[in-house]
Amino acid sequence: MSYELQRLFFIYGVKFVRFVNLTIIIYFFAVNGLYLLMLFFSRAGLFRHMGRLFFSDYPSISKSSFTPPISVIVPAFNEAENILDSTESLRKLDYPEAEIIIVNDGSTDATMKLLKQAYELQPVDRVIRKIKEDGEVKITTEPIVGVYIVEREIGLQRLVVVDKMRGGKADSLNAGILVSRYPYVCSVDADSMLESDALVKVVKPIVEDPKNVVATGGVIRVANGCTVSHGRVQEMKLPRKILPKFQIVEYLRAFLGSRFAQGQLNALLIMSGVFTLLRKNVVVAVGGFHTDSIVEDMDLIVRMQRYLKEEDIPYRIEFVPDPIAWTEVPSTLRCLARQRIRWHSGLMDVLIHNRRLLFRPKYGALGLIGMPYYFFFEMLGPVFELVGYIAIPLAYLFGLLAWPEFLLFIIAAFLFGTFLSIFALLLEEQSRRQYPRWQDLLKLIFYGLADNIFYRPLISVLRFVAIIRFARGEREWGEIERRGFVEINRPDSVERAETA
Amino acid sequence: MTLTLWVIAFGMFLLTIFLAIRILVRKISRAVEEEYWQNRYEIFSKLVDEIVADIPTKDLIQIKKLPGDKKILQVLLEKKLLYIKGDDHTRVVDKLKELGFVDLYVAELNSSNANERATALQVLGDLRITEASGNFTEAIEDPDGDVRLTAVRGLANMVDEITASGENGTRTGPIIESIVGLLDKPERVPDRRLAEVILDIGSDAVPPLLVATKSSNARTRALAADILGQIGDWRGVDTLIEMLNDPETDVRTQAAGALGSTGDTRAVKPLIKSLDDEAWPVRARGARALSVVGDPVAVYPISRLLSDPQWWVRYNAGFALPSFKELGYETLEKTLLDSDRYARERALEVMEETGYLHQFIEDLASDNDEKKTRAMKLLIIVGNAGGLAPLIDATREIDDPRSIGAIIEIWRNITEHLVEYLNSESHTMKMQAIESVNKINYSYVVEKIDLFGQLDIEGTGASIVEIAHNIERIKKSLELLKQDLAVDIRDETFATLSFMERK
Repeated sequence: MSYELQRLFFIYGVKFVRFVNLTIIIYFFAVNGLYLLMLFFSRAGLFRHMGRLFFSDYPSISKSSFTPPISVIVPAFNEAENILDSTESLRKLDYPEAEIIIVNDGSTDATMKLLKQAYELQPVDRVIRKIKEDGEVKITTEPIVGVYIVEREIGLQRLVVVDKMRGGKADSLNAGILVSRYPYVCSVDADSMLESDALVKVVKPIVEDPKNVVATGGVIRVANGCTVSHGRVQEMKLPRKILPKFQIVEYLRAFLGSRFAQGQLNALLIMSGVFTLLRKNVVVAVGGFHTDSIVEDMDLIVRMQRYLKEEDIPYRIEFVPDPIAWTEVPSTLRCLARQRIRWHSGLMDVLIHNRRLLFRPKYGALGLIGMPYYFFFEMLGPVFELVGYIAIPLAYLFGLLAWPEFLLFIIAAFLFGTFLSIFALLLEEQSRRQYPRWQDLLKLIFYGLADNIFYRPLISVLRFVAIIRFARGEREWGEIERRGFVEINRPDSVERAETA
Repeated sequence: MTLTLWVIAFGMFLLTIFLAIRILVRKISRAVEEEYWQNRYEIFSKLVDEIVADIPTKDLIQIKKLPGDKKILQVLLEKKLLYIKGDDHTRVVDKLKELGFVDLYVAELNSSNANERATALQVLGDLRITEASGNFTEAIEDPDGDVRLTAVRGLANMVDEITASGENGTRTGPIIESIVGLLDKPERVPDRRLAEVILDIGSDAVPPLLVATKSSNARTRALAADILGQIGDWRGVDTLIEMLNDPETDVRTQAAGALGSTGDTRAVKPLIKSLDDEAWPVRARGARALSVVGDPVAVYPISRLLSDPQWWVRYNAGFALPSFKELGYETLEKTLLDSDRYARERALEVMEETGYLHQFIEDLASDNDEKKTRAMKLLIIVGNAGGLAPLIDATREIDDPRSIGAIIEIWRNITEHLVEYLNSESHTMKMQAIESVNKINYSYVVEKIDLFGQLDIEGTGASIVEIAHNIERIKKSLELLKQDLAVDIRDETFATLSFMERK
């Protein structure tokens, strides 16, 4: 290589590294600034919401005959560990009229057996309506083997169990929609438990604006470590394992921070499938859940919004910060990795598939805020972060960045992230105060501080792996190894575990 | 650049520390506050208990109101005051007024903060402070939606007190009218929540509701009909009957449902007419409504809906018929012979769901020949109509020797029909027959019949031979169907035969 070429290579190399560094720094401030803005926005909204609880009059919604009836759909595949807890918590929901539809998605464990034994299910010849539009079947599912019911008892909701061939979560949700009788469907994961008033709280925006509100969702909390009895979380405790503790901080940031703020801007792209209430006619109009999507909940919400915008139908999707669903999160690195790779692959799939919504004023907040945010900060975020983790130390090593700047940037980045995590914890303490014990709060503060050193880089790596896999066309479902909720006051738990 | 980073890093450091300390301070102060408020609450709670216990005023616990006690009243309301009624309530409210609580909240009605205004309205409404009714009426025009809704709820809550006090010549009529009038303005107050409030007011709301049924807005008319039905007042019946001719489906549907809720027999003829409505929700709701009114004249018109093209109408018609007791069940029995498959299926479903068939299975073992014959005849019809589940149950559960012959007779009949259907030219009939073969767990039936054979009952042996013969015929018919041109019949046949082989 000639001297001239080396010189040019060096000059442009330096320029390139400087450009990368500058991009990373701008990106860093943009993303954290945006998170901060959303947290402030959420804080204002959250305080406003909490201030209104006194006169929200939830009891009258929970008794009113004008509250719309809801079909709660619970897809269950090999959920023997949790199925009875979650079914029990759902049957005890404080709501005027609901039906709980458990869809057994061809489980190979004792899920169906446990349900049959616990509720003495009776088979019924239920007509499964094929939903058609212009002669075309809108929603199809794998064959349904049987439908079983337990009629409504005093104080308990009606239970319907659908036994079907394996077709995946989306297919099970579609089967639930076909069997459901009510105009609103609520998807709930089988490894989750709803607080007794969760449905009343999540339906409130619909009761107050049935014409416009097409979907609502609530907060998801980490149930690992909590004490559960009779399908209810009785005592809040932190899990013993490290990863779930980090995820508690992460969930607080996601739900109390960004999700709530996006909801207020009507720019929500994700409503967690763990607990979402949807207007059935819109779900049917877009063909139900897509079985080929790996994040069927996000995919559906985006398609619903796209359809409503294209049809020029006004709508709102609301996030309500106080209905709570408890869920079990991955406690091992392997499970977490699979889950996050799946989530990120699915996110990319949906965003790329709907890329033409980006920056299109026709799609309102969805096209101008929601899509760009998820595209540049959520989807491409790991690329920027990882490039930053590599480029900035490299720049320092090659003398392109003075050590004070390098060190300061690292410290600023760490403190900015930490500040956001601690802010989310403060919001939690100022609103719900779910963790009453001192030691739990101190531990959470510690994990909020450590979050940016250990957990976020880990998640960035996992998401980066997802990007590579996605680019190579690999897709797979991650499955959480169920451990079941910690039980007290239930002598049959051992017996159940053995049966399972 | 360096300076910017310094500022950010240092700023974030300070903010993080500040937030962490804030969390801890908040935790500590909350613990202290909670104890303080608990003590204050107990004092106030004791005062209320003493007032309710009618202790003379001079002997009541002495309370010196402290700043911040205002929020005690909110807790007291939720935990105690809402459950105190009549004179006790009046005495407690008088004491609270004397302590200055009420004035505090009245002053807050003019706050610039919407949360404070709504909280004040909620408290004053729950306490039924009629002096503030003017403020409530004004608050209906508040720019904040929650304030408006709270004002409406509060006003509705104190309707009785306003009538009793008659203050400033106030009558409840105009207040209720203004509340019901809001049905036409869902942008002001959410209509479903308003409907709850109107329903709580009850029959006093009927006259303005009748006016609302004439609204130009279809949703208002529908909601007014729904509320009228739930109130169940006779004054609404004529209007609801008229509404069955409304051009909007939703209005007609709600009117039909509402007429059922009133239970008024004047509604029977119009409701029967509504069973021919072009809109299926009206037909479905009409059938349900007639079952509530309960006039036997409606049985035949309802039974016709068992073959309605809409599933939900058939479902409701089936649901309605058992309400007419014997007459309803007789109609269901006749429907088992109907040429319409859906009507037969729904009739069967209802007879199974209501346990009607079970008594006939028991009757198979009856000493009364008439009963036994009737049970046999009916169960044969049930089997032919595809109602195999109760018969399979009967085969499994009933061991009474007297009924065995009857059960075998029924099975023989069914298998003959199955062979007939399997050889039918009709694709639907073939599919139905294959489905039925699948439904019958042959291994169990044959095994059970074998047991009957061992009992050595007169004539049983011959029947077993006949059934075995029939099963062979079924298998042969299915073998023939393997060559059928229709793919679904061929697939089902393979599956069925392999199932029978496994058994």
